[in-house]
Amino acid sequence: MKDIFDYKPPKWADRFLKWFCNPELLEQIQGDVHELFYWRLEEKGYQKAKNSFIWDVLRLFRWSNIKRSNKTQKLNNMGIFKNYFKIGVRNLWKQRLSSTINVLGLSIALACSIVSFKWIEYSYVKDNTHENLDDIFLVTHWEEKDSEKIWNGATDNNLRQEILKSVPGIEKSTRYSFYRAGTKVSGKETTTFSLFVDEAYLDIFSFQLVAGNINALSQPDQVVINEDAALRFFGQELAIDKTLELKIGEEWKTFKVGAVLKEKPNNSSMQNYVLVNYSHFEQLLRKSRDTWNANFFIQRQSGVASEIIQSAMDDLIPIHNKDNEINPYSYFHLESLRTMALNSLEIDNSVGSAPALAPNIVLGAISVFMLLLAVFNFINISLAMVMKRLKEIGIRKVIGGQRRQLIFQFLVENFLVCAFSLCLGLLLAGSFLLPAFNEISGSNLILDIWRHQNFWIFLVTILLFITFVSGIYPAVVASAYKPTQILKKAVSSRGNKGLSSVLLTFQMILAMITIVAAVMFVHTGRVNQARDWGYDQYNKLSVNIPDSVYQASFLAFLESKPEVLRIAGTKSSIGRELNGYEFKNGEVNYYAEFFEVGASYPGLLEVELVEGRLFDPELESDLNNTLVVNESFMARMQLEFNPDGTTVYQDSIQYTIVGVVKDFFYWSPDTRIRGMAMRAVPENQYRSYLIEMEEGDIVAQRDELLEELKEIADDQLFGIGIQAEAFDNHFEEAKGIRNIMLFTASIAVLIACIGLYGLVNINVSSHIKMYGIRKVLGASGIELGLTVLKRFRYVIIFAVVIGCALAVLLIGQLLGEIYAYYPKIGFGPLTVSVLLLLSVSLFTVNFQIQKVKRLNPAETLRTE
Amino acid sequence: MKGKGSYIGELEELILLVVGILGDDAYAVGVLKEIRDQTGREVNISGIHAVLARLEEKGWLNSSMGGASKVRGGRRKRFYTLTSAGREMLDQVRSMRENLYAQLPQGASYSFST
Repeated sequence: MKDIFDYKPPKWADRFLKWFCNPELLEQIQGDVHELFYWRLEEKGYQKAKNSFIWDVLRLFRWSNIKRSNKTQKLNNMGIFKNYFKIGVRNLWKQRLSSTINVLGLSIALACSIVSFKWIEYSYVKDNTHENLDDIFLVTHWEEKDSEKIWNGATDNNLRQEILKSVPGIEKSTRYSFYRAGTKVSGKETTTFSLFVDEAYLDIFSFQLVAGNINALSQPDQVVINEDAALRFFGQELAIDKTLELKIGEEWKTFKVGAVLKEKPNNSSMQNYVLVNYSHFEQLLRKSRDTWNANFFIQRQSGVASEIIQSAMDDLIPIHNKDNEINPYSYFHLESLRTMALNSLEIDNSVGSAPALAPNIVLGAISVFMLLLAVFNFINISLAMVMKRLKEIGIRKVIGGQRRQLIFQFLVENFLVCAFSLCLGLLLAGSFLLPAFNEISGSNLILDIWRHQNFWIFLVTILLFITFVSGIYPAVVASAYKPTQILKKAVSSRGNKGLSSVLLTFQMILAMITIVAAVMFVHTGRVNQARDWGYDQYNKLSVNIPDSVYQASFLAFLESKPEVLRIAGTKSSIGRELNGYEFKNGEVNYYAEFFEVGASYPGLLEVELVEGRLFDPELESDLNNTLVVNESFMARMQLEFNPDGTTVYQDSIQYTIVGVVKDFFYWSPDTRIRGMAMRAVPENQYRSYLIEMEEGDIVAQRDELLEELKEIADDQLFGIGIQAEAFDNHFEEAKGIRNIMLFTASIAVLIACIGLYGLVNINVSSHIKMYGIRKVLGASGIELGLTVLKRFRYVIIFAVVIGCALAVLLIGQLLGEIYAYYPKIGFGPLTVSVLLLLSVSLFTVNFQIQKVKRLNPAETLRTE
Repeated sequence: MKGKGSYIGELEELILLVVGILGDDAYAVGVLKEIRDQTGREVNISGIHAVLARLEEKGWLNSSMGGASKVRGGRRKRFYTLTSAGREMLDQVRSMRENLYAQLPQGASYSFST
């Protein structure tokens, strides 16, 4: 027969009663309704008893039972908080090793995520330094081109004039066009990217003024430059009122520097290197055409809805389209400055650049990895720490602590630890990690804690998140124990073995993956650097000819040098520049890399010929539309080599392919080789000489040549490049990401090992008696070590296997994303990674093994 | 009577009486059962709580905690005892009622119309 106590009154009603009832009255009232419940249960059955119970509870819901007497309100809560705090601090101190491990791991991970937050935020929040941000728009429109809809960021100049005439609500506007202008400052000639803008440009966009008059652009003969340009043109001298000549079109014009600005903020899409009044650009364009397209920014009158401006603009479209039937406008769209840069990939002729996705994903993933690692550590270690405090939990429960209160207590403690770690993490990020990251990435992020709202939101969110995620599980588990069991010592204090092993395994897998990543990136870097370029890049120098005047004298000088073995002139030099042209073979269109070289240039480079022949310097006819192409070109153009002449078209010019060479790296080995074609050009177009030197110290040879040639070249600037160093820049860049990977791996391994160390430490100390007894019975050091290791062997083996498998999948993809050519993740790198992980873990565990070895059994067995 | 109102309601009187009858064993559920057994009246427990609290406030009852049991989930009861003021009140009500009853005319005819 069922005992009456198998039946329970409805829980929710009971809880409801407990919730509303004055705690002073609760005991008797709750006791009464329960007693009534069991009485009715016997008399009338379960269903009736339940209903009556609910009815009773509802009837008891009256003010006299709800209202709290003042006495309970006055209970001093500070007392219990002080107690929590004291106990918390004592516990942290008592288990200071574990606490340090927790705090250390967490703060490193937090520092990592702070840095990646800064970076990601920096790449997504653009142009927010402009005061009128919300009123500034780029005028864009949708148009039809070859029956396709295109979003265009440049507006027809005539239409712009109509807009300014008739559309209301526009306060200021400016056009925005780049032009590469020849520049002359005190006789020295260079070229500069100049920006042509209307007068209002500096009103609309906010740049900081260093010196001069901010309205200088209203004078057509004045330019505004930034500090960077001032330094380049005038050195340390004051730039204001200095003159500067710009070659706009074919005409040299003289300008006075009217103002100097601070360099634009990092995240500004709007440039300010050299600003010139738009009228000069307009004059140039008017010579050849009636209208043109230019970026067109407006600042609306504040309070005017952009829809009104848009529809007023749309009204002008029909008239415009009458004269413009090829690609008619569909409608206008005002693109806010806030989103302009982020949308720039979709807008043709847009301003600014969208953030690159890959580094953000990599950085985000890294910091999530790190945080996961650290949080797992935290859960593991705090679980173990809490298990050592079971008696405290028992006592608290016996004297009336509720489970909720216990959970709260643990969470508060956890919060304090997390907050401390966050402070440490900030310190770490600000003083060490961020500067190092800036070094690698070439950015200049700073930790401006006080004036940075997003950053605050991020910090608070991450703090609460970490506190909750890392603290809730140990708190819930520990507070669930029954005090009777705890105090009777019926609970094993070893904690949740399964969970901590799973978490540790996960950590080790992550560590394994990051190690493989680092090893692979180092390996790929090496392989790519050692890759055969497909031609002989050694002992070759590329001598620039500063001006065609010096072509003959340079050649004569080079020929006179005995150590110069061979000389070949060329227009484009391979490895230093890229240029693309579209080729056609019937239906097949392909955009191929295109080099214009001297006839003997390919021969000197010693590219490998597959079919046909290279250019013949003796043959005049080779200068007429013949090509030497690579194998990829043939494949992509779907061509078969025919010794009698294979032809392709570039626009309407017909080219004959005379030879096919093996694919070679005309650009860095990190980029995929595409189809490439070389055309021979006559001597008068040569811009540089490629020379082969006698074997020797190539750098010294270069410096010597440079000195001697300088005398011939008067004061003209020119350079000599070492062919074998052509890709050094790319390799340097690749080193950046390699370093990030190395760093990530070291941190991941560090955190995982910290976790391992903590767990082994807890494991050893909770079995300290066992080790004592083993020692007494005569176990050797090695045997003791094996016992310690035993518990972790499966974790590590499992992590190694799974980690390697995942790494092959994930890292393969990452490498493919970054490098065009990379070695397969083979047995070698994996073995290296596994050995690394194993030796580091062994090293970590060894600390504890040594402790066990040194332990004095008399000490550990004596107590208790 | 400690200056509180000396008026006593019908349910109050009933409960005060039952508490007196039950002696040392008077608590809310006991009172409820006793009333049901002796008068057949089903009073809700919330009503009893309210009345007991009011009677205590008026000084006719004293209370103390004690007597946990399993059906109560280990919770204690609040036991009530009659105070001398309570007893006096009961006597007073009774004598007043008897006094009034005595004045009822013997054998008088009852009116059956409304």
